[in-house]
Amino acid sequence: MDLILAGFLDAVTPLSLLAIVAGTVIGVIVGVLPGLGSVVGITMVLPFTFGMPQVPAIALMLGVYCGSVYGGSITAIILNTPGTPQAAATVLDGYPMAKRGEADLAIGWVTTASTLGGLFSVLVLIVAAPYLARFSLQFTPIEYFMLGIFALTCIANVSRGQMLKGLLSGLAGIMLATIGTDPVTGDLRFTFDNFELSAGVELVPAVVGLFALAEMFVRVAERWTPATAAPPMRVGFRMPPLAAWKGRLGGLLRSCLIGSFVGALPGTGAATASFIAYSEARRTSKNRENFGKGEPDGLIACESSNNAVTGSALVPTLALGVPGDPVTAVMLGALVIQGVIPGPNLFSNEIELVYAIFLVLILVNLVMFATGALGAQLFTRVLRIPEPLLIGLVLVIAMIGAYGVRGNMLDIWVALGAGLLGTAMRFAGFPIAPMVIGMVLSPMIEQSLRQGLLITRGDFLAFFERPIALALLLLTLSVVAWPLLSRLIRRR
Amino acid sequence: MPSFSKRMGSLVVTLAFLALALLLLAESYSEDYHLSRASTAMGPAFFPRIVLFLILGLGVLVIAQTIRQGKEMADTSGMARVLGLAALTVIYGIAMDWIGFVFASIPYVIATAALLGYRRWQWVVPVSVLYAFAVWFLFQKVLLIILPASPWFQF
Repeated sequence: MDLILAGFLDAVTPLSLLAIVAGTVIGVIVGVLPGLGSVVGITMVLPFTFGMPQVPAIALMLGVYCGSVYGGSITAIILNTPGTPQAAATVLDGYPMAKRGEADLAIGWVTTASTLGGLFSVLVLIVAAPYLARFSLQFTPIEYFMLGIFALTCIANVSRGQMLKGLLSGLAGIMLATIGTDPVTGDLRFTFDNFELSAGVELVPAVVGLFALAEMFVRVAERWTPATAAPPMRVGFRMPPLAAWKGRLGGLLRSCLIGSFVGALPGTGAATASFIAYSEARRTSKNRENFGKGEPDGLIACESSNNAVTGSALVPTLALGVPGDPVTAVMLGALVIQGVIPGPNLFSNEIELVYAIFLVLILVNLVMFATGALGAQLFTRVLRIPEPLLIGLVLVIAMIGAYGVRGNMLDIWVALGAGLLGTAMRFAGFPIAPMVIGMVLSPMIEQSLRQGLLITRGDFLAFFERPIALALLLLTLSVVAWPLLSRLIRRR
Repeated sequence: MPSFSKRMGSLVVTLAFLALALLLLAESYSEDYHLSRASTAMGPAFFPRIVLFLILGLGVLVIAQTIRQGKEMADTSGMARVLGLAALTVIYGIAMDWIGFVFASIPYVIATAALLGYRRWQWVVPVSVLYAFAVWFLFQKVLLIILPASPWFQF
């Protein structure tokens, strides 16, 4: 009980509360601005976390994460353009509702549904993460090796029909992370006598380059009008009446469950959850004929499911140290910089911090509701910032994010190199996310493989004599085989 | 801007991955790695070699897959802006090292806006100056993260 209280007290210090509010507001702004998204948002605030204590730093990132997932829906409603990919399905019913002159009500629905989805996912995190952490105590390095391979394969597999490119991208990420000092023997690898490389390629500058810089470089390739048009309608916030929720709570719960389940799977994310929940709602709703014409059931499905991803995506991240998507990969990197090592030990040795994270997430979702309710009209004004100016401002802060980790100019060059590489990969149809996940998982995969081989005295086949490892192998094989099988089934 | 097919871009990136993998694989067989191998059963090159061989194998598969694709042309209309912004950002990185964060950031924001077609100087110039100093103050004075300084001032 004392530990719970201590954790909660950490979450309500003035600095933590300030970080929660600032992170959520920044997240909503990042979400509102089309093209920035959660990963760019978190990379932008990373440098601010370097000088902060653990809990406020985590609060800032969680605020940005949840806020950005919600913020994209505002743009979807008023501009018919999703601010983030997670809000792509929100356009389908949000914009028609806005065209009817009910933009404020649409924002009311998405804000409420997002908050409820987010709070539901915190509940999932509170229940599932400690259980998964306890279960993972049975894991030896062999299971961790198979888990790393499974996570990477899942992420490569969801690369929109580019599985081979996804796998290649993931392997390149693993390889990048092997540069520097060998974690087992301490020997230097692939440093080419460059002393600065002996510490390896830092994750944060690489992520800044691969996501933030590459996103901005690719973005300018698209045509756009120099100044973004002002929102075409009057917007605000109108709370949906309680009576309107009648008959919709079942759909809300179903979408929350879909979002939470999808979020906990490696490689999927809020965008996937949102589309699955939307199509499920369209199939089961009593008002299915109104879908696409401004139906609240559609908005509830999209927004509750995409925000239900936020907490559950943290389940494997915190319990196993395995990130499920690029957002949690960046957060994992930032946690390590903060001295937090996710995994079962976090739940036994630093339980105070875990409780603080739970409360922070609850507060973030409540602040998100208040932010949407009070500031929806204000946030749409950021759409008036001229994009050419915004791109320069984002790039400046991104470069500082890369530099700030170690205060080393080498990291600027790593970010620039990663930015150019990420741009080339994006144009060539290579997914970026597997590369980042590969970088994050590389030390775990390598160390667990080498330790596992020591346990089995060099016999790799002995890995599959362990039930959990065998189950993970079968899952991995099914993930690899599924695209081929589904193609064969379709042909028949 | 010259036009090229989408598969050309994919081939170039895959070949770059393959070339790098070959380079690192050759390095992993150099004398340094033989020496350290004697100390443990699985030396520092053990895992990277597995990954590099997998990259080579997958790279060949990606090339084969790419060659089978049609010759759909890539849209290169915005490529000049991309290259321009990338070049500006590289120059910004070099300049930050030489003249510090603030003096590099102000012209960078102005040049980026100009490159992308936004030339309302009455907005761009004050925003770039205020932004550079605000970010510097926030990091250097509030968060105590030292940013690259110019040779003349502390910013």
